[in-house]
Amino acid sequence: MSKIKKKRLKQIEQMLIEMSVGNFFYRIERSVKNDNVEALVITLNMMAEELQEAMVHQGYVNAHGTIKHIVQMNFIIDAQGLVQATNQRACTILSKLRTDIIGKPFLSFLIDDSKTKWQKIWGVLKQKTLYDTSLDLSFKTKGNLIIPTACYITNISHTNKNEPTTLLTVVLHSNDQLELEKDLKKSLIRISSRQKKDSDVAESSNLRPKIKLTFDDIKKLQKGHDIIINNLEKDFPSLKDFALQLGTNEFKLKYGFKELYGTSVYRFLKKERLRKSKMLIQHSELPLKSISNMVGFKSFPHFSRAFKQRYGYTPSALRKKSK
Amino acid sequence: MLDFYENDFATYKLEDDVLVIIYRDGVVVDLKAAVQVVEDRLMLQQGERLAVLVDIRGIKEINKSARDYLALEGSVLIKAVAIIVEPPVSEMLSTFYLRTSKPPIPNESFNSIEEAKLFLESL
Repeated sequence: MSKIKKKRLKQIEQMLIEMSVGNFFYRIERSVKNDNVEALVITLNMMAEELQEAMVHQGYVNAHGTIKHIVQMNFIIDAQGLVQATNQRACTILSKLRTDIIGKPFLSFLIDDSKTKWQKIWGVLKQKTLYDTSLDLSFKTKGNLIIPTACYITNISHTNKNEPTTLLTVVLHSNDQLELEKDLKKSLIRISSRQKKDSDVAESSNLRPKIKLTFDDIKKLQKGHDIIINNLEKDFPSLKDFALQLGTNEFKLKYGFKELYGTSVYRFLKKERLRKSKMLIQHSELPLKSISNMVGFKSFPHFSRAFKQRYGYTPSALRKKSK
Repeated sequence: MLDFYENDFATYKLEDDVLVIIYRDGVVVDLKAAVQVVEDRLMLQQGERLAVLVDIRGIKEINKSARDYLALEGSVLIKAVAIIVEPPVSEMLSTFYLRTSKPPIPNESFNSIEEAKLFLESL
């Protein structure tokens, strides 16, 4: 096996390990190669993105079970662009020793693309004493994994010193403490509900117990979601009929859809219809009345009203502006 | 209707009622790029629904927000999409996208432009 391939496989291994402990924010640097290892790399990167998103997604099924653990990296940077101070988590995340970070140019922890971005913003930062901004930067770990982040950058002015310093903060989500926290939560709830002696009750911390959606239920709801998006122009059936069509019942449809997508079926349908109409108004020459029909509204005035309510301007105003 | 257009990310060409979109080599598609690609496509189409052949072999990376945007807004006024891929990298990219983002229109990937055109004609 070639040396490069070995190195790539090592990176994949590392990333998988990080993901296993709940750190979904690492990425592997892409190369221009077109081989199987590279295909594995893009899949892994995209999978991590999907998982990362799912973790911070508020309306996720049984979200009460996912405890979000926030990880933060902080850097204090002096006027020369050198790191003056950092926190322990930053060292862990970058897998570097504190001595490898402090006193080094902040630039050296970024990937090449981010270096140019940073240099640009650094020029602006140096001219201003009070300044806040945010910027997408990608860090590089010791093992050459990449961490894309949104950084919050603040200039701090001191009263006793002339030299300004810059504070850079990164917030990441991880759930590597998930199990521990879950156990703790369980044991606490068990104490409070000891009389009931019902282990199932201990699972839920809410007063109203959550109904558990099975994998099958979720599949059906996802199918429903897709059917709505693909049939915006058609008359929408009653919830009872729609539930039947999906092979579930009205209650599960109503309850589950809200759990999964954070909104009711009808609200979602309306939102999607209006979203599609907005695209068509902006980017096509179709008459507004046809668009209103195309997205399933019975009458144009009704459509226009709903549109204004959602976006704050009428369809015709948007069309005029788009021309 | 214009029959050729290009931006920083792709070129657009109208060939026998099929809109051919070819992504540039080594391009990284983020949300801003995805919005641009869709906007320019719709500008070109002038409200007409078309079949689209898209060559993604040049794409180096496409991030989550871009994938989500393309799956939702990217399919407006498209009859069907044939995607040109090259195994293994861009083929994997396409498989992943189709499986996770579930775009609401017929999508299929091919290794050759001829096959892709046959698919679009058969619809």
